[in-house]
Amino acid sequence: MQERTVIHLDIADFAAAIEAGREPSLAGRPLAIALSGSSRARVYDMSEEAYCQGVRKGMPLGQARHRCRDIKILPPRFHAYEQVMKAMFKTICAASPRVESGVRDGHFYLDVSGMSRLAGPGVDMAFRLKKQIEKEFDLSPVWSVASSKLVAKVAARMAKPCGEYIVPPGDESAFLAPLPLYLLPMLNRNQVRKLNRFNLTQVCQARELTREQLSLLFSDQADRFYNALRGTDFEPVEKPDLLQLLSSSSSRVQPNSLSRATSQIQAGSHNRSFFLEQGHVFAEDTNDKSCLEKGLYQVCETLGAKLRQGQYAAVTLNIKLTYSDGKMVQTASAKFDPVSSDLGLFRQGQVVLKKAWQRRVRIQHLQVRARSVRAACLQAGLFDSQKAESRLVMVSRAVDRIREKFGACCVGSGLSLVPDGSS
Amino acid sequence: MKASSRRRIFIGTCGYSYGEWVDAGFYPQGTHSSNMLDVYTEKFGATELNYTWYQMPRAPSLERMCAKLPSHFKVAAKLTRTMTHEVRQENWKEQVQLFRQGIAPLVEDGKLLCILIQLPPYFDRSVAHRNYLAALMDELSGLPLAVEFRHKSWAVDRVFHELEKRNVALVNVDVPNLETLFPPTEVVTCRDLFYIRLHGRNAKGWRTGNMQQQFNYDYSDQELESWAQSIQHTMLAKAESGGIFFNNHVRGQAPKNAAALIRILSQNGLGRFLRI
Repeated sequence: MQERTVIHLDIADFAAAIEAGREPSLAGRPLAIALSGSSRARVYDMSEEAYCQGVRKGMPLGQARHRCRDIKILPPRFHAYEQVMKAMFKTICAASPRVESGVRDGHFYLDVSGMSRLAGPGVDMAFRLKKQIEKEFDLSPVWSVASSKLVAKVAARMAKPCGEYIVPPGDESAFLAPLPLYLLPMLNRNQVRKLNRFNLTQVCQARELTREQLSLLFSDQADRFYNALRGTDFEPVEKPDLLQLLSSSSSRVQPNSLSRATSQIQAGSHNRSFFLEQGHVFAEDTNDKSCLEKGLYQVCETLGAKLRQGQYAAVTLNIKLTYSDGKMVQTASAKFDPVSSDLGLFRQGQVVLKKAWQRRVRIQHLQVRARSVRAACLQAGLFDSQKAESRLVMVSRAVDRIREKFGACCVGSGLSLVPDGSS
Repeated sequence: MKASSRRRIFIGTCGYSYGEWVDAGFYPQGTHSSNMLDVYTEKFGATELNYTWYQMPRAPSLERMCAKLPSHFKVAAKLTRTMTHEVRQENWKEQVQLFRQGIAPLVEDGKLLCILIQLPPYFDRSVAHRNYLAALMDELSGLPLAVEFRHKSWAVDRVFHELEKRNVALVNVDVPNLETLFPPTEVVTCRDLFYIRLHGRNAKGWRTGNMQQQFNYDYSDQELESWAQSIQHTMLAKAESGGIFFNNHVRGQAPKNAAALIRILSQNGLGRFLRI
């Protein structure tokens, strides 16, 4: 395997950093980014000062306020964060053609292998990029240099909240050995807990497990974990492919919604189809029709934007409702003509929702799953209904372009503006 | 004055981990970065650590490095930028303590040649800067120090005398003939160590500010012979040891020139002082 040099740039508390940069009076103050005004509001991001007082991402806002009495709460401006990421991506791409970025998390990876003759050592490239980002965006990234994404990521976590970490080639295994397992990015909380149950808390301890033992715990991921524990990682730095982009947490969620973008991609058995999911958590549990339809429409807007971005169209919808008492109901539609407009998806969704919603108990969560196919695979429509859908797609695409330029909130359907509780 | 037989000369390069040195033939084809130090230590007796400028050194990492080094090998560690280029009044002393802790393995193992304090080009000889440098050297007292000035205002006898009083080595530089740069000197201010850094004489490349052009220079044998004469007749008699480091890393020119200087010094009868 060719030797690699990977740079990782990580702007800690990205959203909070952008807000603090926008409003200098917030600098040095505990700050949380969250949608307030609901019992279910959670912290989306927080400043280092808030973190030091025990505030964490995903924490209920009430708990955050309890831990940090003088915390300042600001609503998220997702579009602004995405725009900054795009601008930074453009800057960073000038340094290397192989750049991988998140959507609005302030994370970037660059593969600068083989570039030292032109651009100098990787360490110097990383330092210059950091200075450039500071100068152009007034944001200070943590940076790390290592031989793989895994080690670079862990090194950046070690350097946080500010600073740098260089892991020399050959030092990867020794660097990782004493570290706690939760720092490894591929291990989720449950997997760490599994290992902790065996009194394995550090990387060097988990290394004692053989591949066979790891496969008992982690089945087909055992090989990957075995290598990762030793600092070996072959995952390339690359632009996310279309399916990854579609499954990212980017969404056009309206600011008065608490939709957790829980979209997932599952590869369908057919190369040309896949499943796209989007969920919506209601601010308050509800059995109000207009509120449910508003939530459904917002989900359809997000799904529709992703489908259109990837030139896909939905052919079935599956809706899962989670009630306040914990019960779940799932209903699927029959196959329909391909749809990718927001209104078209919503109309199909209304039919499925009517079938799914059979109880008077309030609803907590709504999830829509669309089976989608490539729009290019579809035959041209002959019927009026398909022509009507084409016109709706054109309107939806125009809205996409406006939102891309001016932000998600600048234009919206009347359906998403209906006040909660109205019929 | 004849040089004592106890004297030692350490010749090497500024950094050793350059992928292009494989293409240049210094490292055998297929040499992985993790193995470069092993190959390097077969050819040279010292190196400068560049990465400590970018990042505070960490003792565990340096301990692992020391374990791989031959017993006679010496390391000059660059002082981290938080004490030279990005100084914050409220925490620079704490940074010095962290640096001391980080390089402790080099000190304990007897492998530390010196701490290289490389000052920025804009660090002129103002009162504030003089006071800061004095305070910095006080905080680093007990450690062997070498100071590289890059602003020409420091090239005065008063500065050299002050360094001599403190027994701190002045870094003599070989640089392009440019008005703004600290000039080449042959000054020894420290009884224990003289220090030379050869950056190359690429004036055109220097003005670009691009490292790959700035340090793209190949010293001729004649130019190296001139330095060999200075070392032999001026510098070696005044200090116990000498550190000579080539910074013209582009296309493997630094190790090539370092090897050439070793050859020239050996031919001039100084082979017994060389530590390889």
